[in-house]
Amino acid sequence: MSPEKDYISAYLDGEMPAEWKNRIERLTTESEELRDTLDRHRAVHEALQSQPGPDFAGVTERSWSIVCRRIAESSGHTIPEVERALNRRRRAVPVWRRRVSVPLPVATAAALAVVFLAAFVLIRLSGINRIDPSEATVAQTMDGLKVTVSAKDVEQLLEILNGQNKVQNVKIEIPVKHQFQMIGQPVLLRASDGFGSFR
Amino acid sequence: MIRKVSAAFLLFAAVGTSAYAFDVEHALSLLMDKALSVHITARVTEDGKQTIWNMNLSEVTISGRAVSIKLNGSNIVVVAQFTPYQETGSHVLLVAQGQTWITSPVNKEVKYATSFKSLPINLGESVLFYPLGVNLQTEKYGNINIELEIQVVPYISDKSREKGEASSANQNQK
Repeated sequence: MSPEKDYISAYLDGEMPAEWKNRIERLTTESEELRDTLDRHRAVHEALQSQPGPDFAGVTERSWSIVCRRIAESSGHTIPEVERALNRRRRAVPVWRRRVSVPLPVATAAALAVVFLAAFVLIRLSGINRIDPSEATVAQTMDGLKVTVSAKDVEQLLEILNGQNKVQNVKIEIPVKHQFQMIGQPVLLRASDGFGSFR
Repeated sequence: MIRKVSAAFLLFAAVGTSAYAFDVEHALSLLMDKALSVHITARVTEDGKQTIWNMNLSEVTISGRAVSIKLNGSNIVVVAQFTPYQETGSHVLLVAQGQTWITSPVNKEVKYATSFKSLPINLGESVLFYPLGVNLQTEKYGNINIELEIQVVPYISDKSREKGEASSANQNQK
């Protein structure tokens, strides 16, 4: 038996890749046996397609009637009475009052998620008095200047400022009429030693 | 039951957050206590004696954070950085970094000089920095020179000043 026979059903369902589809079509023209198999499958396929689908609603209704009848027989009530009672019970419980079984770990996780979400929202809404220490925001202290510093305390804040290697730049324009030249090596000394304009 | 557990967790979260609340005002006041004022007087001197131009400026900084000034002249650019490192008590190590670009009016050649100096000083002590250099042996300051006088003092905020003035006024009344 050629392997192509196994794929005929898939071919009829249109589930074959293009290359395999072409191969099966070519083989059916060459092989009479394969062509017969394909015809039989196609006949079964068409017969199944022509059948009406299952009547789920009818089956449900019939099952419901059987259940009502058995309850009526065992309880001594009439079938319409049982049907009315069951229908009333079925419609009486709204969706939000029906019992839902949730595993305890899932319920705990959901409750924790709600609690932390609520806490987060409250903290955010409570303003600057409750600032996360890891994102301390110094706001409105200097004319619209807003500085965000990730520091837990002042020591860490100082370390951060030191580590930024930023400097305060001041630009001074010297009168252009003076021409300067190097005199020697740059010098740093105490004014009390009596140099320069402090002599 | 879930309601009670949720309320307990919410209360716990709120209390925990309050405990870690960052008091910004307090932090700033502590920061101001550690701040330093750097007063710089830039002068152009003639023969190292007469001041023919000067300019004063003050910058607030903290220990380890540099104050940088840039002097632009007709044929010169000086960039000087002064970094005070506060040690114990009133002792400060002042580090001065200078970079000078100067063009010769004759051949338009650009000279570059760089320096890195440090000096232990006391708070309030005046220090002089000459980015163009001086000859200390001959005390030759050059015809025209640039002199930077630096003074590092503790920063006094307006509030502290007001408090100090109020306390001294009270003492005078007594």
